[in-house]
Amino acid sequence: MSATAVTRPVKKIAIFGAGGGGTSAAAHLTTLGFEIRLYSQDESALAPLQALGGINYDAPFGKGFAKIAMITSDAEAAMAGAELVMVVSPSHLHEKWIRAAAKHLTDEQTLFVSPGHTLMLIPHILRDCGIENPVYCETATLPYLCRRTGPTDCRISRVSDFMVFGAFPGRETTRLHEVVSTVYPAVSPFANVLETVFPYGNAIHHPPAFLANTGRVEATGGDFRHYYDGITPSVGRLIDTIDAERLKVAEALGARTMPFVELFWTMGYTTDAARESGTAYEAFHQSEPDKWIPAPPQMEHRYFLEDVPFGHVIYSELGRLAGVPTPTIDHVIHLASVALGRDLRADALTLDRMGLAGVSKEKFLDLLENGFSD
Amino acid sequence: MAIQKIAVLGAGHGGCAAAADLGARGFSVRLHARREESLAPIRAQGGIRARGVQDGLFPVDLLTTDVAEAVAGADLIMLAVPSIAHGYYADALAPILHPEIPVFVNPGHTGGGLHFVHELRKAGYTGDIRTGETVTLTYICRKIDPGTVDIFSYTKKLKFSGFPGKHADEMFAAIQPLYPEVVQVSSVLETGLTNINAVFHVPGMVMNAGWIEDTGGDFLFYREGITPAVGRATKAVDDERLAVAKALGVPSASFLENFYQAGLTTREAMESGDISRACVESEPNKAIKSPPSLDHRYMHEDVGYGLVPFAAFGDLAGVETPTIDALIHVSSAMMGIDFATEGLTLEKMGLGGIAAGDLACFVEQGA
Repeated sequence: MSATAVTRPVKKIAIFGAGGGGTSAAAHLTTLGFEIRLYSQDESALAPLQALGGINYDAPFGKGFAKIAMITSDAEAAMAGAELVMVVSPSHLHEKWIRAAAKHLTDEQTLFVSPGHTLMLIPHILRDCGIENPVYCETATLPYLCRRTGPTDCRISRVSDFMVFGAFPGRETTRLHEVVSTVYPAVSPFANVLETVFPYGNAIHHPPAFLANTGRVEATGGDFRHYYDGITPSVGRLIDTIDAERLKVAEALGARTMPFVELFWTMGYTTDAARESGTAYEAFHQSEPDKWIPAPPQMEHRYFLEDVPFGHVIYSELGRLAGVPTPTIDHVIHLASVALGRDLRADALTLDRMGLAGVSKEKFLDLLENGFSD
Repeated sequence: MAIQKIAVLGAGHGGCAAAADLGARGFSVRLHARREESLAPIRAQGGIRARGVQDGLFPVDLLTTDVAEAVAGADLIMLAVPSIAHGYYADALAPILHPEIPVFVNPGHTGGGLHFVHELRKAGYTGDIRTGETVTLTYICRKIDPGTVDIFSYTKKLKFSGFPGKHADEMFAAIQPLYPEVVQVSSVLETGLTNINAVFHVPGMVMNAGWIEDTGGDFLFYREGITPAVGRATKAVDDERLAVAKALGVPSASFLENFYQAGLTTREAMESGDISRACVESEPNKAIKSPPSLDHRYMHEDVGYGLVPFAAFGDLAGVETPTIDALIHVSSAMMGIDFATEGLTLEKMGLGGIAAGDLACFVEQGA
C-alpha cells in the first residue's frame, strides 16, 4: 500500500469477523446497498449463516432479512475486488485478522478497523507481514450498540451517530476519512490513531466497574444490570479518578480528547442533566441505551480479558512513555490480575509488543504522524 | 496491684459494653464521653441497659465529660475510642497521667497503642508509660440506642500485647483478671500484624462495592460476598501481610489458621487453602449481612488502621505490598478519602525515620 493510492468509490466491502459486530455491520450495510462479503475463520459460526444465505436483523432502521452477497472462510475471495476491508473484532483478535488480510491487501483497498484502538499494533503487524509503509484507519468504537441474539440473528439497538476516526499515518486521515465517510457518515476525523485510543470508553469504565462488582457477578451469575445497578456512586467515583489519569496522559502527548462523560453524551448515550453533573455515576444511571444490559455471568469475560490488557494497559504504557503516573489504572490492573489469578499484563498491548520499546515521546509522535515512509 | 477502679474513656459500642459488663462484675466504673448528649440518656435511666452476657440496668459510678475527673483515682484507664480520637485523649491525659497507671487500648487494631503513645509524647508527656492492647474489641457487641447495648459474647482467644515490651507481663497480669479470654503474644507488632479483619474486610468491601450500594447491603457478607475471586484477592493481601511479618521477625499465622483457631470455619476448609470456601462454610458467620454502605468501619478502620499500617510496616521492612497498596488506593478513590494520609502512617505510630533493625528495640523499650 502506498500513501498516494487512488481511492475508488466504495461498493464492495469485505467484513472480517462474524460476531455481533460483524453480522450487524453486514446486515446494516447490505440494507444500504453495499455488496458485502462476510469472512470468518470460524466455520461453525459461518455454517448457519451460509445455510440461510444471510442475517435476520432487528434494528432501529427496521426488522428483516439481509441477503449477504458472500459468506466465506476464504479471505482472498472475500477481499477480491473489495474497495473497503473492514475488520470488526475484539482487540485480541486483531493480530489474527490482520495477518489473514495482509497477504491479499492491494494498494487500491482501504483497510478499516472498527473498533481499532490498538495504537501501533496493526502497523507493526503489517510491517512484519512485509508491508513496508502500512496505511490503515480505524474508529475508537464499534458503529453499533448490538448483540448476536442467535446463530443467524442480530439485534442492533443503536447505530452510532458519532465516531472518533483516525488513520495511520496521521497525514492520511483526511483522505481515508473521505473514503469511510461514504459508508459511515458518523465518522469524525481526528489527528491519528493516538486520538482513537483515548475515547475507547470500555477501557475506561469496564475494568473498575467489573472489579467493584466481582462478588455479585460470581454469587449471582451476573443476575443484575451491569451499568444501571452496578455503577453506584462509589464505583462512579473510581471511574472518574481513572478518567482523570487518562486525560492527563492524553494532554501530555498532545492528543485531543474529551472527558468520558462528555464523550458518552456526544455519542448520544446519556442525558443533558448527566452531562451537566460531569460524573460517571449519573452518566450511566441516566443512560437509556445501556440500562438493559445485563452483567456478565462470570469474571472470565472481555470486561477484564480485553479491556484490561488492551485498554487499561495501553493508558498505563502511554503514561510511562509520557512520564505521567497512572496509579489508579495500575492498581486496577493489579487487582483484576489478582482476581483472575493470572497476570493480565503478560499478554497485554505493551509498548514492546507494538515495536515501541525504548522509543522516545518525540520519535513516537513523529511516527504517528508520518509513518515509516521516511 | 488488683484493679478495682476503672476509667472507661469513650461511650460508644465498646465503652458502653465495658462499663455495663465491668460494673455488673463489681468493678467501679467511671465513664467519660466527649459530649454530654452521649451521657444524658444513661444518666436519665440510671445506668446502661445491657442484654446478652449481662442482662439488666447497670448503674455507672461516675458519668463525666471531664477526663481529669474520670481518671482521678482510677487503677486502669481503658481507651475505647476510634484511633481518630487518640489525639484528643492524649492531650487531656498528658498533664495528669500517672506513670504507674496502665492504659488499655481496646482495641488497638494495628499500631493503635503506638499511635496513642506517640500522641501522648507529642502532647508533652515525658514519664514512663504502660499500655496494653488487643487487636479487636474485647466484646462482640452493638449499641442499639444511646442507653442500651447488646453484648453477644466476649471475644475468644483474643491476642493481647503490651507496649513497651518491658512492662508487658505486668500489663497482662493487670488485664487478664478482667478479660480471661486474652492471650499474651510477643509484642504490639504481633497483635498489629494479626489484624485479620483488615485482611478480608477490605477486599470484600471493594469487590462488592456495587452490590452494597445498589442494595443497601442486602446480601450475606461471608456466605455470598467472599466468592472465589474475592478469596484470591484476600489471599494475596494475607500473603503480603505474612511476608511483612516474616521480614520483621514477627510471628504470625495465616488468615485461614487464625480463622480456624477462632472457631470460624472447618478444618477441611482451612486445609483446602481456599479463603472463599472458608468464609462460605463459616457456620458462626453464615447469617452475617453486608454493611449497608461503604461508609462503615470495615473501610474506615480496616483501611486506615489496618491496611495503611500494614503497608507502612512493609515499607519499613523493604517488602512490597502491591495488593494492599492497590486496595488502599482504590478505597480512597471510591470514598473520596485519602487513606494513605489519613490512616496510621509510620510517623503517626512514632516510627518515622526508624530503621527496621531498631524496631524490635523500640517496641521493647518504648523509645
